[in-house]
Amino acid sequence: MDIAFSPVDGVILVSPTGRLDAHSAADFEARLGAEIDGGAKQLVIDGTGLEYLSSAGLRALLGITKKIRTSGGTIALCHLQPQLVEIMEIAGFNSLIPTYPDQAAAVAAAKP
Amino acid sequence: MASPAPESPTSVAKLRVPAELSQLALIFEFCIKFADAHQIGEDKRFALEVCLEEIVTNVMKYAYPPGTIGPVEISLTLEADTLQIQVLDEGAPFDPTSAPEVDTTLPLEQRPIGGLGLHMVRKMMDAVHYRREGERNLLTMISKVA
Repeated sequence: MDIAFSPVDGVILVSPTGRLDAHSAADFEARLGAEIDGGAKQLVIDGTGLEYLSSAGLRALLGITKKIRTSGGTIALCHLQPQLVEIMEIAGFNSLIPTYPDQAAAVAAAKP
Repeated sequence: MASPAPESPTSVAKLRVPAELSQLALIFEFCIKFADAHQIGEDKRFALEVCLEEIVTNVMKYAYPPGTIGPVEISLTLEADTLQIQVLDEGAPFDPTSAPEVDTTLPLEQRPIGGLGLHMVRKMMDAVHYRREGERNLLTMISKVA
């Protein structure tokens, strides 16, 4: 999976492309973890390029969310395709990680 | 006199691969090909991939002793509007359906890392059964695809 990081309006925008599954989850969690270790306090994950999300991917998202909140930061998601929103709801993750339809709202919510 | 039941063609596809994570892409490709060939909609295909990943990665992680890689066999059977998904392995007896239900309403700090996958399988599939068959574990999932 490709992951692009770019600063937008004071937050780090994370744009993964591909599938977040059992094969890619560890790398995804490690790379976002490294951003947090490097000082990132506000993350917005833009799901435009995310084709797939399984429980392994959700576990990685949970790990990242715990890590950034422990460091006093925030995280938000945006632009998830409908099947991915449904997965988030089934897992009860919609109440854990704020999810927005568009990037501007997610960035505004994540900003300090 | 009752007329004979209409013919219901059954379609079966099988895939047998080593139970290791590097095979996951091949397993997804197999699912997508089957779904496309039988006009299974995107939502149902997505559920198939998510639930199959869950069961298959369980086999990859737990079925065989550390350092050994055994086989995992996947069968997809479509009969009328019912898709039957079977996962067979030759590992130690393990019933994934015996795992306790997770509480998805817990706050973040109390969320356990495990148990989520089976919760999703139970929610996304119409039925889930486990059976020990001789020296093999057989997990069957049923999904109405119409």
